[in-house]
Amino acid sequence: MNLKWTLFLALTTFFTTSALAIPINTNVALPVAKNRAVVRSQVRGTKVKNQETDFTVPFIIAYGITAKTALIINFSTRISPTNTGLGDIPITVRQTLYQYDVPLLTSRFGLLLGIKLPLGTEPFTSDSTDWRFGGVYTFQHDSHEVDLSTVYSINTEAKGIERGDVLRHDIAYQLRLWPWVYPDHGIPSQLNFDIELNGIYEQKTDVDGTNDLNSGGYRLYLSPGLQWVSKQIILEASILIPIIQSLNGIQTEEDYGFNVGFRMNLP
Amino acid sequence: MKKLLVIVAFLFSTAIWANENVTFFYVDGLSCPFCAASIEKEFKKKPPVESVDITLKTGKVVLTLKKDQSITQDEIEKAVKDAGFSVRQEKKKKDNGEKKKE
Repeated sequence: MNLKWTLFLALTTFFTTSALAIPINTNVALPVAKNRAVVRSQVRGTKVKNQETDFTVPFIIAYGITAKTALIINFSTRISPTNTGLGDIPITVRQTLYQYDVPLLTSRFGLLLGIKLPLGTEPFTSDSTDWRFGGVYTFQHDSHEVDLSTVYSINTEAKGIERGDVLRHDIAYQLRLWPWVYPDHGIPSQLNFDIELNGIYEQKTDVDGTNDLNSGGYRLYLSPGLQWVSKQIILEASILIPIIQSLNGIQTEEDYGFNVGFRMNLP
Repeated sequence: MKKLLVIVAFLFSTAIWANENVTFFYVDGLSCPFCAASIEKEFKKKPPVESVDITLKTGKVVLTLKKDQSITQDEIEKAVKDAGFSVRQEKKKKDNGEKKKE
């Protein structure tokens, strides 16, 4: 399997549902208000050894159908050294099943269910309609937040190629650096430090019924980042450092990844 | 003389409350500015509400209402719920009591 193709698939799976505050690369269970929307966009780069950097520019809309049900749609543009085009469109629903709120603390769990529509352009579409499901948990208390997320993607066959299923697991911790203590009045903007472990396990790809031995494997990233959070906008940047790259067969390893972006509350 | 001063001070403070037409309550689960904004927007779109003042540290939400306007408890609870948060029930009752004393 083409390495860039593999990377693209990994990245689209990696970032599909992380439109909501607050972790940068991990899903979150915090609410999107009913009939309101949050938009998010980023520039994400992936540097593979001895190759030029590939970029993905997603535009993600998260809409609150109800206070507990959010619809998340991801439109992305892909820019490689040789091609530019649109990626496939993942659509995800997040349903909050558990919510516990006390002063300055919230704990929430939600289910994720999604479909990826093959609406991208060549060479960035998989041509397959794929499914995904998973769970996300958020614990937020004053200056601390922990998020856990697991998503399993069932990939289907198209044009003789069936990509392996993908299991993502993420854990994120955020610490509010400033202000260390909230003031006695108002809503201050804040600066967060974010550290995440983002893992992707991918099965081998089948090509015309035969396993591609040079596909699939496991990657684990350590992803530190910074985030500026205000009422209207979040500015954020993160570096993805691969700490485990256990890849099947012959595949080129990544040097690093990065993303810089924003999220905005729509009026 | 002291009694007179106390009476004047009391009348004056009561008059201020009456003119401001303010109500307040507490929201649980708020712990970031981005999330607090959704509460602010929910109330700003309500016709009786002139301004919204939120304190993240305590979860206190103060609504300044337009003259001769009011907002019901059900409207408050629905708006907070639609934003994805919870109204603090016990604290709210206690604070209402405190406000009456003021």
